Amino acid sequence: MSAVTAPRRTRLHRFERSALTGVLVREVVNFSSYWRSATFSSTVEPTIYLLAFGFGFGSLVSRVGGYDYVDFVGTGIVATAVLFSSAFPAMFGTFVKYQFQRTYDAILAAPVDTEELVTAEALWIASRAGVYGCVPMLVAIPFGLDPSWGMLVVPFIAWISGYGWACFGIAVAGFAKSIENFSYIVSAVLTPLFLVAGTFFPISTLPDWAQVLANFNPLYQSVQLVRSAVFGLWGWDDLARLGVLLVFGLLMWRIAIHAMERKLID
Amino acid sequence: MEDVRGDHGLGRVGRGAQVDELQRGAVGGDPAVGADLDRDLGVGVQVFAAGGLVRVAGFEAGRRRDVADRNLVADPLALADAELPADASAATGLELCAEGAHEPRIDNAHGWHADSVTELAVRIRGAVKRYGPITAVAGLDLDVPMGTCVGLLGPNGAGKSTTMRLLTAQAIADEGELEVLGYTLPEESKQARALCGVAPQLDNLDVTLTVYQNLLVFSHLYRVPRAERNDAIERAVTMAKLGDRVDSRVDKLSGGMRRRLLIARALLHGPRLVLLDEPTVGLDPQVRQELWALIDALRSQGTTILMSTHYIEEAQRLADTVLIMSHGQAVASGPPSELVTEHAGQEVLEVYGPPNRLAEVETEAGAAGLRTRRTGTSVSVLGVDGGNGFDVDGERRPANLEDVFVLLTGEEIA
Repeated sequence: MSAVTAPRRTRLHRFERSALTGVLVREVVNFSSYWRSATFSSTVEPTIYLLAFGFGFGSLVSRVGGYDYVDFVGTGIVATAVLFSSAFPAMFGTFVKYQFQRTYDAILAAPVDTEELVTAEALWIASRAGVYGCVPMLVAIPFGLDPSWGMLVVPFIAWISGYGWACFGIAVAGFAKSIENFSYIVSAVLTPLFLVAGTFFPISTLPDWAQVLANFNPLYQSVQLVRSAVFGLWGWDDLARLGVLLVFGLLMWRIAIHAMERKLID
Repeated sequence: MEDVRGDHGLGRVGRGAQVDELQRGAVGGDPAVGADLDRDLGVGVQVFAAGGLVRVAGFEAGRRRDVADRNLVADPLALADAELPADASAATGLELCAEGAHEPRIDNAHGWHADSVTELAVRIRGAVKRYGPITAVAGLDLDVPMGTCVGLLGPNGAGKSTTMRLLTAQAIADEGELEVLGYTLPEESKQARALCGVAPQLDNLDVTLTVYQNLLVFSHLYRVPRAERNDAIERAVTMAKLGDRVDSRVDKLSGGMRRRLLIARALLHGPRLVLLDEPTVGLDPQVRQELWALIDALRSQGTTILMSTHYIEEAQRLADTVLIMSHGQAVASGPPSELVTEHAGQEVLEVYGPPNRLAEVETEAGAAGLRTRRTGTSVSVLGVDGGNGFDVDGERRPANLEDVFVLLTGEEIA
C-alpha cells in the first residue's frame, strides 16, 4: 500500500499571514470578554504611580534633570506602563494558556507553527502595550505636561518596546517549570530594571558602573526615547537607543520561539 | 454491524453509508456496482469489492455519481478474481482502473478490507518516541486507509496519545517514518495539519467564548475562506447538534456538549482525516452513545478517522480496524470480529469456582490446547466452540475484544 498522494498545491510556508491572523483573531475575540479588567489594571496602576510620585515626591522636588518633576515622571512612566502591560501579561498569560487551558495545543494542531504562534502573540501584546503605554502620558497632560507633536511617536516607541518585553515574558513562561518561578524574574530582573530606568530619578545620580549598565536596560532606552519625542530633543543618541530596542526585540523573539518550541513540541 | 449479504455466505459488511450503498445493490441477492465519487483525492480511482458488490471510489474533481442501481455483476464470487466488471466504466462515466494495487478484494467481515484500499491517510513505520528513560512508542507500524475508521485500543500509558501527538507533529519521533495524507512528518506537518481535524482528549476550548466564537476563531486558523465561514460553522454545529447553543458560553455547556463542540471544531474545514483522542473518556453512558452516533455519522460520510480509546465497546462498535497497543507497540490489528475469531474463537466458557477448581480447569484446558484467562472469581476458557474434547460445565458467552486484549497483553482494560 502507498500513502495517498499529497496535493502539492497546498504547500504552506513559514510566517503565513493567515496563521498570524488566525492567532490574532483569537486574541481579539477573547479580548472582547476581558477588556475591562485588562484596561483597568493597565491604566490605573501606572496612573497611581504617576499621582503618587508626581505629586507626592514632586512636592519635595520641583525640577529633575532640567524638567518639571511631573513632566519627568509623566514621560518616564510610559515605559513602565509598557512593561506592566506587556511582560506581565505575556508571562502569566502564556503560562496559563499552555499549562492550564491547553490553548496552544489546540492552535498547534491547526496549520500554525510555534514561530507563528509566538510572533502573533507578541504582536498582539505589543499592540495593547502601545495603546496602554500612552495612558499615563495623557493623564499627565491635565496636570501640566504640555502636549506636543512628538507625542504622536510615543505609541510606536511603546509598541517596539512592548514587543521586546512581550517576547521576554513569553520566553520566561517557556522556560518556567511552575508559575511560582516568576517570582525570581520579577524580583531579580524586572524590579532592578524598573528602578534603574530613569523613570522616577535620573540615572546620573547612580554610581558610574550602574550608569554604564543602565545603557543596556531597554526600559531606560524607552524612557529616554519617549522624553526625546515628547520634548522634541531628538539626537543621534536616539538612533542608538532605537537600535538597542530593536536588538532587544529581535533577540527576545528568537529566545521566546526557542523556549516555546521546547515547551510545546515533545 | 449488519448482514446485508443474505445467504451468499460472505458475512457482514460495513455500516452507515457503506451499508446503505451496498444494500441498494446487494439486498435481494442482486449484486450491483456502487460508486461513490465524493472526494477529490486527485489519485485516480479505487475499486473495493464487498460481499459480491463492487464499490468504486475515486475521483474526478467535483464529480459525484451513484450507479448503485446498475446490475453489473452476475456472480458475486467472481469478484474475488479482481476483475473489474466490463461495463463499470460505462456505468460510472469514469475511466476505471483495477490493476495492481487497485485490486478489489472480498472481505468476509467488514465488507472491504484494509488491504483492498490503496491510499493511506496515515502511514507509520517503526516509530519510536522516548521521553528520557521511558519509551512511549516503541517501533509502531500503523496504516489508516482512506475512508476507514481505525481504532487504537489500549490501556492508559499504551502510547495512544503520544501516537496522536506524533501525527500532529506536537511530538517528534526519535526514529521511524511517518506520513499523513502523503506528507512526510515532521517536515511537512503544517500541510498535513491543514487537512486534518483534531479533537483532543483534554478540553482546550476557550471557555469564556461562545460556541460561535470558538468556531469562528478556528475557522480562521484552519483558513476557511471568508465567504464560507458562516456556512462551515453552521454545518459543524448542525453535525454536532449544537444549533440551539450557538450563542452559549462554553463554560455554560455540559461535558457532552463541550466534547461535541471539540469534534465540531475539528470538522470546520472539511478535513480529510479526523484524529479523535479518547473522544468519550470521562463521559456518562448516555452522552457516550450520543458521541458514538456522531462519530458513526462521520464514518458514514466517508471521513477517515483515527480514534484512540481504552473502551473496548467503543472500538468494537466504531472501528473498521482495531490496532491493539501495549507498552507503545502494536500487538495485533485487524477488523474486530477477525481479531476475536483469530485469537479467542467464537465462544468462551466461563467457569466459576474456588481457586483450586479454577486451577484444575486451567490445567485441563491447557491439556486440550485451549487458552485461558483469569477474570476475578472465574476462569475464561477461550476457543471452546470447536469442542477440542474439553467438557467442563460453565457459562458460554460470545468471545469479545477484551478476551483478545487480555490474552495478547496480559493487561486488563476498561
